[in-house]
Amino acid sequence: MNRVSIQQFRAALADPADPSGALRAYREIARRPHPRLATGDWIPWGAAATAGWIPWPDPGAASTRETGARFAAWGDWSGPPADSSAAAEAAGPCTLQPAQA
Amino acid sequence: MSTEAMRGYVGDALRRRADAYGWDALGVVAGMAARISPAGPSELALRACRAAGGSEEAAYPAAASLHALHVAIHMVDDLIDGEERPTLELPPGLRANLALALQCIAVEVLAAAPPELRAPLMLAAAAAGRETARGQELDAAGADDEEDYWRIVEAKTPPLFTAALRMGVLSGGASPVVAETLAAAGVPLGVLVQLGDDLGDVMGEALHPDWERPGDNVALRFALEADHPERDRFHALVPRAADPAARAEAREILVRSGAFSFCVHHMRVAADEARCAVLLVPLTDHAPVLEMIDQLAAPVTELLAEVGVEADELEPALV
Repeated sequence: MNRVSIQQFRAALADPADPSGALRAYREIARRPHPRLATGDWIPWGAAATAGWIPWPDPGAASTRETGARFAAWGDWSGPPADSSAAAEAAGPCTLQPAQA
Repeated sequence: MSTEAMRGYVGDALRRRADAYGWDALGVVAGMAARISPAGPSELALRACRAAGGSEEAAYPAAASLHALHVAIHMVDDLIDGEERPTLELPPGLRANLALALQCIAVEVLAAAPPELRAPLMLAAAAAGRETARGQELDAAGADDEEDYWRIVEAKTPPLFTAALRMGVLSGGASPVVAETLAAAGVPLGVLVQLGDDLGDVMGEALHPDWERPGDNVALRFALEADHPERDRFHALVPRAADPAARAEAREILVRSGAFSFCVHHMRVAADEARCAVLLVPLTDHAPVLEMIDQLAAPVTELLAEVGVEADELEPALV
């Protein structure tokens, strides 16, 4: 899997010539002094078996499901993980259309 | 979706074993079932089962197995990390002992599955425990560099996610090939959750053991390694993290340096990879699993909305 590295990300973040929407969002996050500091907000699964049992997220919250139409900004999607089966390969690349049973 | 009914089944499965011995500590774990997270592995198994066209009840044995495994994994993780507030208030040796029992119970409860599914489900549960244990050992050794960090994350966190998807979809009647394909989505899901965990561990008020092992937390590693104006100051603050004031200043640098944004980016990427991996699988209904991914990614989605960048501005479509 090709991942944006720490150094690559920092360089892109510091480069005002890069106008992409994602980087604009990331720069805005970096400008805000305290974005979402509530610990439980960022522990989606691990908290489930801890003494605190922090529910995450609010089970009553409306689903924000999208259809998979949002993809990585920098093109680092390189297909399914290497251990995907032949069935995934046969299905071809992701076309945003769900495969049918 | 009857999460409550699943919680009842899981709690009963564990409580019967606790009651048989008068085993109080196991009874406490049974009680935890009443608060199984709606974003946890047992729930994910239920959703995968539904996605395959199965009834929710068909996934209850898998849900019980995953709950037992999940608690066991956390108990061992607490022991390794030296958590001051462990999952269960027991002496360390007895926590390890109870974790052993839970790993066995995670296999035992699968005897309630249909005969043709028992072996594959038991193998999946056993593999999840084995692979997680290997990942824990790698994690304990520590990450030498950024590449090593990602290798450890992929080894430690995803096995429970892949098991939940595999066991759930098998319970719903899917073929082994479909199960294997869907299980692949567990890798990016595990990465997504681990990144959220990393952020929560250092952005919260409490002192977390990650401050003592900053190379094993990607947000801390970013602020230590990236070329940013406050890097030297951050290096000076990390050894003083036990001081709340130093920690608070360090947290602000995590935000300003882009460490927080870096985690947000990779959480987005992981969520999108998971969605794509799910969509590749021929399922009766993809929605139950996709909704769970959205739940896990919701803090990122909400944060991006808060900063005023519309979703359609964020990135081009996949090419």
